[in-house]
Amino acid sequence: MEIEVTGAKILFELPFGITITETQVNMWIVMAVIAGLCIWLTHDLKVKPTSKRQIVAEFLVKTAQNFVEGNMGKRFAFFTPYIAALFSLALGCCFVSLLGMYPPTSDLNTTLGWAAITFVLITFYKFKTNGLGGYLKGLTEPIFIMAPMNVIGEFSTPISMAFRMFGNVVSGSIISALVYAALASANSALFGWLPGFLGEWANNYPILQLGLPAVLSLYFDIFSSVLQSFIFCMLTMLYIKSAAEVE
Amino acid sequence: MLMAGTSLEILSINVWHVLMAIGNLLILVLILKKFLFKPVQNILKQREEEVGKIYSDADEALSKANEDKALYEQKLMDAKSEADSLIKLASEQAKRESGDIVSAARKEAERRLKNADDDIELAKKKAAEDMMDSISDMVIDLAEKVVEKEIDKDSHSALIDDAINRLGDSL
Amino acid sequence: MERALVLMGCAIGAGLSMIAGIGPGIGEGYAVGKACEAIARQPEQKSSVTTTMLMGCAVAETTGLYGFIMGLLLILLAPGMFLKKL
Repeated sequence: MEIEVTGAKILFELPFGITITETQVNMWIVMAVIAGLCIWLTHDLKVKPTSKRQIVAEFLVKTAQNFVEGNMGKRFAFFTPYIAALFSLALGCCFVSLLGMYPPTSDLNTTLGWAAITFVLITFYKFKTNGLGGYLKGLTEPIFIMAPMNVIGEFSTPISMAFRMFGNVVSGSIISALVYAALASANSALFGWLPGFLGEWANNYPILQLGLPAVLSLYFDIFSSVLQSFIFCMLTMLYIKSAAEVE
Repeated sequence: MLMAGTSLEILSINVWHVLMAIGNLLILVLILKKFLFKPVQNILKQREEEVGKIYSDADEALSKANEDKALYEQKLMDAKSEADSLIKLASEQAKRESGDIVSAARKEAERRLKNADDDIELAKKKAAEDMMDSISDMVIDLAEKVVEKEIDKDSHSALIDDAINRLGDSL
Repeated sequence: MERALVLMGCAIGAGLSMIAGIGPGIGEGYAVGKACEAIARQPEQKSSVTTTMLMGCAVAETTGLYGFIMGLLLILLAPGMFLKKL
């Protein structure tokens, strides 16, 4: 049994070495679905809500606002659309794997890009609150010898965020693939010796693959992805908030 | 190496893909802002305004009602005092009129009484004169009968007149 | 012979890299135990304790994930990289 663990398939080639892979296409699908959902939820709003759709839309908006304001304070209320977009995109990109598609979050480029935005925001707010001098001075604390470590620490924040999300999703998919392969070989070992068409049938339709992968998918695709999306948003908010606090 | 149909390595970093991920996220932020947050927040704001308007309308209506109440009370008080003054006026007029009527009646009665008195006086005078005439004649007749020619009318007329006058005065 | 040595080294390294799983295991177990104590002490704070615990668990998991990614690299990328030079 061959187990191949690869990244996203390359679908199109564009000039300048740009390639479009499954990651991008699946992400666009998720974005289209989210955009369609938003348009459907808000397509005819009334001051007096008459439809459940509108109640759901208002609930989502209020929940997002309360979440962001509760964690970052009223000052950062304008971050709500960003956090909501980050959460919905991460969640959608993880849930894609439930449909058997390639989850864009198991591509390191995706999570690295999102973490880069967080890094830029953190650094921007550190500059804004402390100024360039204060920022550079903060790197040499407690003594100047620690400066390289502090620089590494600055960069380790987004990298750890990116690898956390990526690692969780990839470990889930690798374990799922391993379990699938193991169940297939167990199936052929158990039923493959049967004579005639029974053995062939058992090899072609591995019935052992029915139960266990669903449970694993419940954990890796739903629980773990919700948790990781939530944590990605939470860490983004907390880092930005602590970067904007005057020391 | 990067050809259509092949796969990326599981841990590969491609700057274009990183940039595309960033761009996708930012585009989704704009989409959410435009299609979810802005309409819902507009609606929430409108609802807040409407609720505020309803409250201010209610306050306005309440204050107007209070004003109206005060106005009506004022009007009621005015009407009451007007009625009082009207009643007073009417009663005064009635009093005056009744006084007029009474005084006119009294005057009339007095006038009539006076007329009656005058009539009585006149009648008395007339009666007295008539009586005097008739008494003087009667006295003369009586005296003629009593004294029978002893009394000469001409010679004793002074005496008789004197007696009559005395009689008349006593009347 | 050299190919076999390279592959052996990569496989042993990948196996050793999963030692990193010990730390997060102990740490997360400790965190969850403390969270249970906290919930037992203050049941009304259950949701916030749970949220904080999950956050802490996810952060503690990072080192384990680093180990996992090292293992992944050693198994999937390193053999190709080193064997090309031979």
